[in-house]
Amino acid sequence: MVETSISVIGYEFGGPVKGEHGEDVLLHTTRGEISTLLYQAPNSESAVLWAGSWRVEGQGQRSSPIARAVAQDLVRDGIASLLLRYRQNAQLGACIQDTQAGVSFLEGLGFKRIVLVGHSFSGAVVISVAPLSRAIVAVVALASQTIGANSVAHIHPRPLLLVHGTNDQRLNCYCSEQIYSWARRPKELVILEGASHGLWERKDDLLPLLHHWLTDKLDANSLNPGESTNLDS
Amino acid sequence: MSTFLVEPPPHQERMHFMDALEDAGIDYAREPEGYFVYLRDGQQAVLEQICRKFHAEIVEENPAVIVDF
Repeated sequence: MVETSISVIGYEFGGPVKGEHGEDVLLHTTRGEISTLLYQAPNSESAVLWAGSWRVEGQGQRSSPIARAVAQDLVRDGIASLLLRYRQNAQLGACIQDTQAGVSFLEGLGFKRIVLVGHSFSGAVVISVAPLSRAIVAVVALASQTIGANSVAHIHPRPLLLVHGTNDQRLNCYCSEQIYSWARRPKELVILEGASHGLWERKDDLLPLLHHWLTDKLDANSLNPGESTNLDS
Repeated sequence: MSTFLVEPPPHQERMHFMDALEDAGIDYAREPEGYFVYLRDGQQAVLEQICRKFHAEIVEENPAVIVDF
């Protein structure tokens, strides 16, 4: 029998990271070590997990510009963020485990409401992970691939936001339309004219959109989906 | 039961187009070629109305579907 589970067995805070606003946290898991960047928000019970948004770049590590910009703003609203680097890129099963470990870590720190955000390949990762924890209250998939995302109906009743650019040369925006067609409500699809796969050309629209959507879904006055609805339905 | 291939409406109308199909109980699948819409008896007029509203065009009735194994 293939062992598919992952557990966090410890973690180490490594202090601030040069050029970043977050601090380095290394997760020790039963599958190996996972590097993360944590944007702390004092006394917060709400967090965003940015799967795959903490990356190796040259000799160091760098956060994705979208995650960095939105995470900084969210801290001011009392919402923490965890940017996560996969142990192995593009290995869907392993990346799902890594993201599960990130969720477990946040739950262990006391976060009760978590939104998952994934870009491109990571869109499929966060869609796959969302049904696995009651603490996950919403999902954002940016310029997502469809492979691995066909289980999207299972994230119901959590809200889903899909964003895609019309000039995406890697994954046509029909991918997000297809995921939208598979998903159950509540769901939203935003197509950004002129945006490429990175979506950065439309950052002036994208960043406020993400900020408002995330703060709305993490509103402490809202109920968790698991508290109001049967997640198995 | 008839199948229609619908050319996608303008980008900003696609979500509302899909929502309208779902609200009307019309089955569809988004594929690279466009929207394959599967109609039951009595749904064609509703589809035509939705297409007009969202500027989508029915381009083919009973299109050949290539199944890639």
